[in-house]
Amino acid sequence: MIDYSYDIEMVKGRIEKGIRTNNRKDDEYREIKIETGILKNAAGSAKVTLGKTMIYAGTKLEIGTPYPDTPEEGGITVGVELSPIGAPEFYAGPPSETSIELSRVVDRGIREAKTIDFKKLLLVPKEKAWFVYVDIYVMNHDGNLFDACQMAAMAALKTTKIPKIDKEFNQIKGEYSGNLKLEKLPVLNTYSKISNKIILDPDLNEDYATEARLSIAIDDNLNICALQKGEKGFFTQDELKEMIKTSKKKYKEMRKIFEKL
Amino acid sequence: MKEIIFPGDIINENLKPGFGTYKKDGKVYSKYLGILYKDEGIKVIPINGKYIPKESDNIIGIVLEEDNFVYLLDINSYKQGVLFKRANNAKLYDVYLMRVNSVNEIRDVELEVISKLANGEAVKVNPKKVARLIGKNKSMQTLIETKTNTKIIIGLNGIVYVIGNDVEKIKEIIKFIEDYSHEDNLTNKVSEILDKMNVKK
Amino acid sequence: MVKKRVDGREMNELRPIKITPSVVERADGSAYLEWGQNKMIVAVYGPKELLPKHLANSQRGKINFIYRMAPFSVPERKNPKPGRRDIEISKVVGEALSYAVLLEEFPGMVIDVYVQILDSNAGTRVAALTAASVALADAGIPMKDLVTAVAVGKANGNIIADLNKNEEDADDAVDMAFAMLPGSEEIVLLQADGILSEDEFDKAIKIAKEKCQEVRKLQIEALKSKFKALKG
Repeated sequence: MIDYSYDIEMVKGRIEKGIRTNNRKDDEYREIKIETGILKNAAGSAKVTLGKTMIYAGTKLEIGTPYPDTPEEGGITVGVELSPIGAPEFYAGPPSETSIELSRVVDRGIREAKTIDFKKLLLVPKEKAWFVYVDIYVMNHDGNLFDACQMAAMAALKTTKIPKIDKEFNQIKGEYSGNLKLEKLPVLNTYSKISNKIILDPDLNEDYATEARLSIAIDDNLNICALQKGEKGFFTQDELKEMIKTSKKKYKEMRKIFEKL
Repeated sequence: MKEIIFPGDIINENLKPGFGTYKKDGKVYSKYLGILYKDEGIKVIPINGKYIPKESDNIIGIVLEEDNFVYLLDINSYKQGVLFKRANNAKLYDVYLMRVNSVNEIRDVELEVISKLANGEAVKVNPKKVARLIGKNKSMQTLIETKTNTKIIIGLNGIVYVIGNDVEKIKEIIKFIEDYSHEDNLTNKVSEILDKMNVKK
Repeated sequence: MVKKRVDGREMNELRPIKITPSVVERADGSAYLEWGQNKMIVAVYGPKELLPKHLANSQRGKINFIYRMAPFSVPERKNPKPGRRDIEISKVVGEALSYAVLLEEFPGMVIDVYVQILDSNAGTRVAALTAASVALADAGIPMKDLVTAVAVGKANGNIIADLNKNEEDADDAVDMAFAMLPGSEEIVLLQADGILSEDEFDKAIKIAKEKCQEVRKLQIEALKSKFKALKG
């Protein structure tokens, strides 16, 4: 049975009355479940379900040449795939603007917090360093892909093992020389504004009714490390402050989820 | 429990093969994953699937899009339903109870509005479970309506419109019937649940 | 004494297979499948109108089968863009399903079947086809029969079922992907590379047919689990 998700006016009416599915509070996440180490060919892997949104993420490490402006550093590339599996509106083909925005926001939410010390990925100055590729697949879209994808990426990164290499810098299949170290544990929170109310973690119905959307990444020092406003509505400065306050308040409990991985 | 049957299973009965079966080399097979019914003939009702439009069915549709000439409605089928602007005046998300006047070979549907539905909420159920939701001689539908003081309008296409004070609880019951439609004595079990549920009337 | 394989299996033994239907809530039908190290999700969307109309077949529907591998699903990171192998697999597996699905009931329409490989170790296309049958049944699509698939072949002089990657890489390795409708034994997928005598080929087909019947049992068990039992 599917709750009829297209009636945006009905969703707005419910939000105005303070009604969310399963009596969720305005600043409450749906149930979060994380499994890691599930894919053997990946260096790190995770399956995350946020309510019914389902994401798989995997990391691969490859040796590459450092960029000319950062000769002593490795790097990270984060990509989100809106797999045609995940929703009837996703299609096979080149990335849509939605998937590109998702990729870049999740990337910023990890990179700007200095989650990984790229200097520690260096193998030979100016010549060789580890580059971490995080690929995130949306396998069921039930709202709030931003937070779900960031959680999957973080879980996969936290449990990533660094491949063992021989003297010629070739990877030795199936052998690892330790874990990727995460210096920080940034958390991404996404809010929806619907009928002048702000709610955290929109489900699919709420996603459709969203007038303005804000994603905030908070790091271990309770600093904001990335921001993204989306959709065609607006926020007031007071609303922004309210959301930042909520994110800071929730940081500790969100971080706990990753500490134990 | 009714009998579960799988695509390609041979059906060894001397009854007339009906919906959900096919014949090959004199034998009768199931086309679907579903439930096998043996009444006057053999029928396999699939466990899942979109609404297959049939002439004279009463269905419910929801307006999702419009262009210069038509409104396009979700009718839980392979194609959207169409209402012409010259004959109808509708807005986005309006819910209509309609009659299927005709269906062509590629499943285009000609619809006629019976009434506009309001003051309630729509849910989508598996169209193959609608019969169970209605019940023999409307027994299940009447049971729910009287015990909870709601009105439930059931489209044969699986879109159900609920008007009442505790729509959330009714949705739970509908989901229960959908999940356990293959069980026997379902009406009794639903009756017990409704008694325990404390529905706001 | 009968030799065992490097991973401890008998010559004709399949790797462990686990199938779970209805895992993608938004899809019309779906399945999650593990076969040895292989892990994948299949989703079915349809039948739906095929647009643009000039690509549609007014007599019968079409299957659009898309097989893709995630970059992290293989030992050396793969570009997510489809390569020639992905496109070939999509074509032959789609053709196999097209025989089984009663497409004449859906003129002008398409059924999209997407497979995402998440982890791999030989035999992904037969695993994908096996999973796709389950997903199509889950979606209530009418079929003549489920399609079952298995890979058989030769390694180190023996005809074996379900080669893993190490066996595939052997010098004399022959890998044959096989699929049939288990009721009628109509063969709908057949691909092989390597040298086989006709005797070896006959033996391989015989083993493939037996193993397909085993695979069908697992598909049935998985689909049965969709019918929850009421407690009390």
